[in-house]
Amino acid sequence: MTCGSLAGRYISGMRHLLRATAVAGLLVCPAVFLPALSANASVGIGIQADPVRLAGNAHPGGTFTLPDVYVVNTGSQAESISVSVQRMNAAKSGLNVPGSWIQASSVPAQLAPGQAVRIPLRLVTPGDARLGRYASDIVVTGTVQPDAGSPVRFSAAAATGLEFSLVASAPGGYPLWKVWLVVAVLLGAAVTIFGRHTGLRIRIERSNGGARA
Amino acid sequence: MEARVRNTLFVIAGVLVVLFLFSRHQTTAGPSATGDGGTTTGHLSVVPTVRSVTVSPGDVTFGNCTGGDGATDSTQHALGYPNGECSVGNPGVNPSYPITVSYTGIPGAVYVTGANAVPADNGTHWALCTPNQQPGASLPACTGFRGQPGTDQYTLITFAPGVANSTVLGTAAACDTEFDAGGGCVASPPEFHTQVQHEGLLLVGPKSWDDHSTSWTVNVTWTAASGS
Repeated sequence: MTCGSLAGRYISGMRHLLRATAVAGLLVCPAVFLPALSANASVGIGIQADPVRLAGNAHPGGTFTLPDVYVVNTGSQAESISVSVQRMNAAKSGLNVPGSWIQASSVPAQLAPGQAVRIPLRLVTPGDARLGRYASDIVVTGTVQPDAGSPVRFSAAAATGLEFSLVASAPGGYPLWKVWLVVAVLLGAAVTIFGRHTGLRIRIERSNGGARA
Repeated sequence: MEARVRNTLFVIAGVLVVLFLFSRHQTTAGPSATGDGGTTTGHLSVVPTVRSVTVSPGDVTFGNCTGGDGATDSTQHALGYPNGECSVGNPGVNPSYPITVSYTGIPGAVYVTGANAVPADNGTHWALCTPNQQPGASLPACTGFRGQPGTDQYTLITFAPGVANSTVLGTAAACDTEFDAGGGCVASPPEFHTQVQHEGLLLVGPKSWDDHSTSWTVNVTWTAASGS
């Protein structure tokens, strides 16, 4: 065996050793560092403090556009978002809003850390809905993809008020104020036509008593 | 004549020197001396318009398991039966409270909600129960011996440093009394910043269970809401 072949075998052995060390390092490093990253990870969600209020009144059997609700991921990981309706405070006055009445659209599948979104909401009331003032909460829950085998998983949720009033609509689905407006216009037209046909005139005179004095 | 011209030149030179010095003085005096425009930046803080809650870490593992009987005694990380106990953190000697719950925003309330424990094979769940059922409470009473959880029942209780009240978790949102030493759940962050609470969890397991899975998952949700 020559000195050159010995040197070649030595270099080849060192290469294998370095390769094995690199592979072992790649395998071990995630195992060492991932739990630390996971341990520092947080889950969090924020929501606008102002309640979601319907502008005007709702009526049974209608669909109404509610103001969008602002939501932000305050955690350190991407979160899945879900929207529900609950009453957080039992002492709150007003009727409970059934969850099926509220439809959230364009809810993102994932919200990145620090990312905010405005979620459009619609109120869909059934025809036999009870009239009155309704008060519940829009609750947005953020959950993270848990580590495999993690036995306790935490979620964060944030709630803001949901308020609207449900008033009766006129037969045919028209709101009462529209009916009253139509009645007033018709009444005015009838009085005008009656006056023209009968020759009835209303004369309005202005007396300027102060000027004479 | 020559002297007059010389004097005139001296006077003109003197005036020029005075004007030069005056102009230098004006320049160094800066805008405030002359009333010329200057800018200043005012910083204004406003009250937050977002209410949020953040929980860290996002997931944990129960440990410090005790209780059980004979062959089914708990081990350090495995719950035994009947009615073994495991915790996240430690309320007793060498206390630790590894869960950090942060509320940020205008004063509000923090609620906490539990859920059924789900086995790995998604078989028979363990339902939450309460050892001391109040009239009208939505959480079912524990059916075991002396208010302990019965078969396929368990209890989850939060604990925190210096707080006498513990919250027994149910599937409906309950006040996180750890946030409010008065027994309510009011969160009042100073200057609308953040109120931080460190908490632990105690789990009391069932008398026995039907599912044969050895791995179970428990979900806990903290909710930030308005106080009224």
